[in-house]
Parts: sequence; C-alpha cells; structure tokens
Amino acid sequence: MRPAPFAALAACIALLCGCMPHGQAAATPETAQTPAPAAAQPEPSAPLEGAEGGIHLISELLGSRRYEYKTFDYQQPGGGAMAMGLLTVIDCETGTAQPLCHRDGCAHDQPGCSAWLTPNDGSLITLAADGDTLYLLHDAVDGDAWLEARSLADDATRVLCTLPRLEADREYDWALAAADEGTLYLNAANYPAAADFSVPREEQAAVLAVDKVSGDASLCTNREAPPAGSPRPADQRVANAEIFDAQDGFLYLWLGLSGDGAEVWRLEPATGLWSMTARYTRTGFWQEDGLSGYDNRVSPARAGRQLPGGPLVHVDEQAGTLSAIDTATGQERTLCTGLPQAAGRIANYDVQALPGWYVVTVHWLDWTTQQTSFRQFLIPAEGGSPVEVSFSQYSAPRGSQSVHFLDQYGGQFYCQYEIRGSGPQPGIDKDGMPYTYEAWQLVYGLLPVEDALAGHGNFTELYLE
Amino acid sequence: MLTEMFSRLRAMRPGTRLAALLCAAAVACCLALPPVVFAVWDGMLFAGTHPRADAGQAEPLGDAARANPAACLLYNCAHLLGVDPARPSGAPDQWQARTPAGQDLADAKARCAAAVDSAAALGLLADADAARLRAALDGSGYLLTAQDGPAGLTAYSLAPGPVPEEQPADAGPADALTLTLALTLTADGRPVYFSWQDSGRTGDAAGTGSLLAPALALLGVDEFTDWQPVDWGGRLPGAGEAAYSPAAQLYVSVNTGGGLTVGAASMTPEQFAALLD
Repeated sequence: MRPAPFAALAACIALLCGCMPHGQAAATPETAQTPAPAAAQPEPSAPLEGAEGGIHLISELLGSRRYEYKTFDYQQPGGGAMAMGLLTVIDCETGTAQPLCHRDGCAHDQPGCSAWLTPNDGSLITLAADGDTLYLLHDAVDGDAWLEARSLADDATRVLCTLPRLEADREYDWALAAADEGTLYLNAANYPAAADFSVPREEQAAVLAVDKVSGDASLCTNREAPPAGSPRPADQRVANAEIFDAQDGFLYLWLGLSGDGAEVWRLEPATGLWSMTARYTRTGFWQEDGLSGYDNRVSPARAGRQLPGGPLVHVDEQAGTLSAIDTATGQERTLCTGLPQAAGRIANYDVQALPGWYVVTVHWLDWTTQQTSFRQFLIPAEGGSPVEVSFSQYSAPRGSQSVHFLDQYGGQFYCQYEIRGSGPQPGIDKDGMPYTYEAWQLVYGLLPVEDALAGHGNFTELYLE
Repeated sequence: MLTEMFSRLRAMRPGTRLAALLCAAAVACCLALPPVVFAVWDGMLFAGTHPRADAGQAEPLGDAARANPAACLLYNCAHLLGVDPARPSGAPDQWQARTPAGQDLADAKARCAAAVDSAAALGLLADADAARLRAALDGSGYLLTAQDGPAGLTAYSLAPGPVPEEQPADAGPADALTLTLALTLTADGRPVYFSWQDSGRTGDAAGTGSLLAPALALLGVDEFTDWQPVDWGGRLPGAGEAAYSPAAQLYVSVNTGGGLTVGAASMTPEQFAALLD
C-alpha cells in the first residue's frame, strides 16, 4: 500500500516536468548554403585501391563521396543574369557538402571558382567518378556530345573526346556506364537517323571504349545474331539497349525487344566478342484504353539518379513478389513476397537498386479521381520481408510524392526528401509589369538506414537544387 | 461530511492512514500544480525571443505606408497572403470565380464603370476610349466575370461573350468585339490593377506625355514623394514607365502597349535591387 501513492505522486510530477520546454530548441534547421564559405577545401579522395582494377559500373558515388551538378543563375554585378553550373561534392561520412574547388583562398562565390562551370549552349551534363577523376559527359541537345575528364585532386579539366550525335547515318544516345583500369565504357546504342516509318525502328547495341589517358575511342557494335537454339522471334526488334552490369571482365547489356521479349548480351571488351546469355519473356499482358503493359517481367532495376545500371530483377505484380537474378549465372533468388498486388494498368512497381537495398515503390492511379497514391518498401539486398516506409514530400505544384532514395553509403541513405518553396518572389515581365512567382528547391540529404526502417524522418539536409 | 471523514481517518490503522493521506496529497498536487507550472511556463515563453518565419525577406512598412490603404494591402498580398492581385490564375485556391447576374451584375458593372471614369478623369484614357469601354460594359456583346480573392479583392474580367445564336432583327452591323478589360478592385473600389487591351485600335491611348503621375493617383499612392523612375532601357524594350518608392515599398508600372496597363506590386528595396541586376 505504502509505495503506491508515492509512485502515483512521482508519476504525476514527472509527467508535468516532462511537458516543460527543454531549453532552447533551434527554431530553424541549419541550411546548407551553396556556395559554401571558403574555410574548408574538399580533401582529395584517394584512388580506390585494388578493388576496381577489373571492369565495374561507375556512378556519381565513389567511395564515400557523391558528386552533384546543378545549374543556377548568377547575378553579375551591374549586368544580367548568367546561367552557370556548380559542381558539389557531398561526403556521406562527414555529412558535408562543398563546392568541388581546390583553389587556395577561394570563397566559391564568384566566377573563377573551379567549381563553377559555364554551361555551353544549355548542354546537359551527367557525371561519373572513377579512380581519381571525375568524368563529365556534356550532351548538347541538338548537337554533338563531348567527354571531359576532371582531376579530383587539382580540378584540372581536359576534353577527352567528342562524341558525334550523327555518324554514318546513325544517331547515337551516349551514356556513361562502366570503367576499368585504363578505359571508360559508354553505352553507345544507336538507331537509324533517317526516320523511315515504313519499317519499325531498330536500335543497335554498341559500346564505346574510351582510353582514359589519350581519349582514343573505339566503337564495338553488336552484329551477332542470337544463337540458333534461342532465336529471336521474327516480329521482335531491339527497342532499347543499355549496359546494366559489369563484372569479371564482361559488360552486360540489356536489350529490350518490341513485344514481350528481352535479351541479355555480354561483351568481352578485351576481345570484342558478343554473346547472348539469356532470353526473357514478359507475361501477364494487360491492355486497357490504349495503354498496355506486363505484370510479370524481368528488367534491370533502376540505379541512381541519372546513370543506367542495376541488377536484374524479376517482378510479379500479380503475386506481389520480387526476385533478383544473378547476371552471370542467371540464377533467380526470391527477395521478398508480400508486396501489395499491382495488377493491370492502375498500378505498377518501380524497383530501384541501391547498394545493399532494394526500394520498391508501388504506384496506384485512381482513374475516377485521377489521383495517384503510392506505398514504398525497403528490402535488404540479401532478401527479407519488405519494410514499409511512409515518408512523403508535398509541394503545391507536384502534390504528394514519395521520398526518392538515390544511394546508400555507410548505413545512410542519400535521398531527395523535400520540395521547398521560396515563398512569393517579385518578378518583372517583358512589359515591365510586376508579377509574383514561387521558386522551388529540391532538398537532398542523408537518412540513417535504421531511422528509415523505423519511420523516423531524421534527415540531415546537405544539398539544395 | 468532513467530520465523518476525519473520524474515519482517525479510526484507521497508522499504515492505512498514511497511505490515505498520501493519496489525498497526490490528488491535491494534481489539482494545484498545473496552474503553477503553466504560469512559470508562460513566463518563460514571454521572456524568450521567437524569430519570425520570413524575417529575412520582409521589412516592416514605415508609418506613412501603413497609413496608405493601397500600400498596406499590396504589402499584405506580397508578404502574407502570397497573392498576386493581377493574376488570380496563379493561386487558384485563393480566388473564388463567379459569373455575376441580376443585381450583382449591375453592381459589378457600376464598380468597373467607376474605375474607368477615374482613369479617364486622370488622363490615363482618352475620352473616346473611355466611352467605348462604358459602352462595352453596358452592352450585350461582352461578358463580365468576377473572382473574389482574399483581403476583399475582386478581379473583374470583361471579354467578348458567346455570340448569340439569333441576331435581333434590328441589330446594326455587328461591331468587331476587340476590347478586353481586366481590373482588380479593393473592397472600396480602388483599382490595384487595371488593364485595357483593344486589339482593333492603333495609336497611343492618351497621347504623348508621362502617365506615371496619373497612374500613381489612380492607385492612390501619389502621396509618397520618393518615387524613383526606373528606366528599363534596352533590357526590356517593351516596358513602359515604371517607378519605385522605398517608403511605400511599391513598384508601379504603366504600359500603353495595345491599350493601357497599370500594375503595382509590393517589394522590399533588396528585392527591387535584385530585379535591376
């Protein structure tokens, strides 16, 4: 009897004390300012030892560092606005983001900073890092592309080679994909330049090997036919081709065919030999209102933001299962069951592969209200039960979206998790009339894996775009 | 009742009595502590500083500007409501569209006519143009729609209406419907945005001469004395006249291209300086 009233009294007082404010909570989170103050310089990253001597996929993430590129408007004092590009390096270990500039005493706040690039003709730039170099693929939308190599130690940049848009009556879609010790490999899928609608457009799989030092490029095109034992159906053509894996001295390409077929081919760059390793057929065909798709299919999972490359996964939207397929052996291994069913046109799975994790986002479209909804699941790479995560981000123009997981390093996800409005801003139109607009920024940052699994939105803001 | 309680208390064993007293003390604490705790908590909250959300963006208006209803209203639109009086379509969830009819339509037409008359009286519109606008408001070829926005703003739009299926027997040759009128009025009828366009006319709206002063008078902000003219020059060849007042934190622009457009927006001196770059 005696202890109980004490306990009750103590509990009441504890409750009241717990409600009191705990000192000064920070009113606004620290925002990552770009450009950053001059104090810190990014340390040069040591070239990776050993592991990457063989052929491997490359991406914006190298070791613990992720390289980002964005364009912004720079207000010249006394002049107009100039469109500039900014290279930023994000260190996932220390949780910092800095302009990629090694100049002494540079405040990173005006042209002349090594991290500031002047975009030429509005070209699109994709990045990939390997060894001690950052490779930039400039793609002028209506013209040729070119490849630049930029030293991560001292920012020295040189053009490696030009990549023509048109060559020998074929049009090329260039993409950075893989590398080994001395060579870069680009996806060089190409199709006939002249649009001849009398025949279905046929894409040709090809890989461009570029020497990292000299920039000499050689194109290796797949002219082989599938083996006699597994012929390509007569009515199916190659619709798209992309490098999705690189291991053991081979590059693996995914050839999506028109219709329900797909093939996996591998190229041995050392010998230039192509061979087909697998053929897949999609099933679960549905067609409604002019749309069609397949509920049961094999395809490469999506990788990071811009570059192709992801392991093969087998998705069954009717059964709600996800399996991983070993590229080299073709063996299939169930990753998880119990995903929500997404059969038909109103729903689909979007599978993304991050180091150590798969992210499956299931999208639903309600045709009567035209509202989309989604559920997102995290699945460990070795397989296991899907863990549902319920993060979302909202903005007036885009509505509600899932958080976009882009990468994983050191137990933290790198993701784009918020869309931030600047509030109404005044502007002047061409007639001198004032108007208001709102600028939106995408916010990127880190989220510890255990917080993601537990549903705690413990994001650390790193980078704004 | 109290005596009964005391006697019961005395009758208990000491152990039980202590327990009962402690329970009573606990209840008393639960009743008495909250007001004390919250009073202390309130004191802490009032004593501390609390930064405003957009402290970096908005500057408070000076006393003169706060006394001017137009400057005050436009300031609120820009910094608090996030509403552009000239463009209701930019914030569809803040404006309520309606098609006035009956007495409502008559009132709307009267308000618009009053605004047109003020503009004509100030010299912003030539008399002939004002007369055509009045005729369009009164006639049947044009449709007047309204959108009700925050802070008592109403945005009116006069545009060629649907062509009637049957022309009346005594209708003259159909005049080309080339006028459009868009204006946003405050609750007491003062324009904060006025735009008249006539695709069928040529020549200047009201002859040569600066229309800046009449435009400031139309908006009701001519009492400020620190209007700095803005010369957009080569950068915006289509721009008309413009001026900025730091005291009112207002940017006003008049453009006679295609008719007459008078617009105003509230912006801090920093925001204005950024636009000039």
